Amino acid sequence: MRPAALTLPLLLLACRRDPTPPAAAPVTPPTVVAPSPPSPLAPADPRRLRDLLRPESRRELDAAAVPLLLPRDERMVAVAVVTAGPRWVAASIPLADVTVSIHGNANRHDPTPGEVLRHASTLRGVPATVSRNELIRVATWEENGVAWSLEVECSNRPDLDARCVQEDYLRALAASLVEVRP
Amino acid sequence: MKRPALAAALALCASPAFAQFTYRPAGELVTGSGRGRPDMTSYAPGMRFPIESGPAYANSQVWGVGGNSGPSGSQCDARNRSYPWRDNYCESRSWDMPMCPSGTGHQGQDIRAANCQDNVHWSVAAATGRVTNVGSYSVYLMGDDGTRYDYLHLRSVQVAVGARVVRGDRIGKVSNNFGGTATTIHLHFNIQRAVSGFGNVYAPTYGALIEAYQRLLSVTDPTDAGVAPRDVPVVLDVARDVSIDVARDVGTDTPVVIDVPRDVPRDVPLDAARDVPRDNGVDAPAARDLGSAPVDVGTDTGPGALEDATAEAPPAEEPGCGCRTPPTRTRPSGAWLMALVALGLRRRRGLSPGAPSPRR
Repeated sequence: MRPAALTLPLLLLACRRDPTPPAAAPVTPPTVVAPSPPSPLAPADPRRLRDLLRPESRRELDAAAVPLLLPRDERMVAVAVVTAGPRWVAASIPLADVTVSIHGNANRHDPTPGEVLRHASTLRGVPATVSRNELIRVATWEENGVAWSLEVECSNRPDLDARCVQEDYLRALAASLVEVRP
Repeated sequence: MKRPALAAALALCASPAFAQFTYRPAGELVTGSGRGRPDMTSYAPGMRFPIESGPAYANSQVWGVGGNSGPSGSQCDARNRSYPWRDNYCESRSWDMPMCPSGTGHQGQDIRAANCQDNVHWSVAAATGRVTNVGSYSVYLMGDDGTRYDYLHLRSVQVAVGARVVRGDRIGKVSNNFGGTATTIHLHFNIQRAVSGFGNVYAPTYGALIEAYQRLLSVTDPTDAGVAPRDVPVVLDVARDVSIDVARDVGTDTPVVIDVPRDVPRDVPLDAARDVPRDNGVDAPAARDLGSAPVDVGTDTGPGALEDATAEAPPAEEPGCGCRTPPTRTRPSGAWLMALVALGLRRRRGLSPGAPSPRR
């Protein structure tokens, strides 16, 4: 066999191997913490979610004039701290490395005359704004005459935590919310 | 006048105990930092200033000295703690903000405390209400009327979720807490309110902050607690689609100038007497437009301001350090001294750094 005929198959074989990474300056990818979406296994029974609340939170909810939206995830509901005012209700949910808060407000104001506020997204089947407050993921929409805010705050490098870098976690949370009444 | 008296007057006026509070118009951001919203409406009328004592300085921490986009230097640079205030609501950000002219921007106002000491200066409750959330670097306070106040970057937080706080109660200390992410020592302050047909919005904070700050600073001088002097009005447009020319020379417009005592310790009952109206089962009280409604802080800068100003005796501006004399008020016995102060200081030092001379 001529040398050229032997060389060609060897070269082709070599080309199929993964190329060796170039010796360029290393690029450090951001450390992205995997999101932990709400458990899909949690029940959607509002009564059960209410009963899972701590007694003081249950009392707050029972005194609230506005029904509360709570995640389906029982683990979240079990640690939620509910507060309520004359025409608003809120829940603060402290989790490992992240705090979720939900605010419902019926003290609605008229928009500034001549100003039209537009949502650029949708959540829960209604127009919504999905945005940020610094590095806190926020969403707002109106549902049943109540203005809602859902926020996700990451405590450890929020600029690297996927739950605050991306919208997915916030959106999954919003989709999981269940209306819980006194 | 004899020289010792004049010298004493000058010394008093030049002392740190007195400074001119001035502010740029609402919506006038640092050149190149985005498109602001020229809206002087106080969306939280009667609000308590969120830092316990003055002086305090509202300006951009990103575009200020030592900020990511600002001049190089230290965040402790004196330029960051000088008047005039500057709005940074709607300052360039990538995220959606429906009330900003560009549709994106900064949600609130950055405020620096009297000096750049970390974890020293108290932030306080802007209104009576309840703490609804305490995150790793945020505290949310829901006022009784449904207005929410957000405090970011605090340390030494003194409140827990569910706590009921009274206007002026301590919340936490101004710091640079950002979950391990870099920022300067400042308070990021938001006002959030519900808007029919939309949801919750981060409302402009500047008008409410100016109103609250003037109330805070006036408390050590009861004579300044009522009608304060009015200045050359700056007509502001509250419509969303009207933008200002952010590229214009910042030195050509007229800042509002008010003399205030500087070292003010705490809020006082005078302030509390103007608490936010409680919820009464109807819609929350409308925002007060400082440009049209009569206010007691003398900084009306919107449409109608001129009429309001001229309805009262016009302010008597005194030359010198820019001190102004309230027109209809009996001055304290030392007022003549301040008038003399005014004479000398303008010659000696002019206005505060960065504050252009008022347009006559």
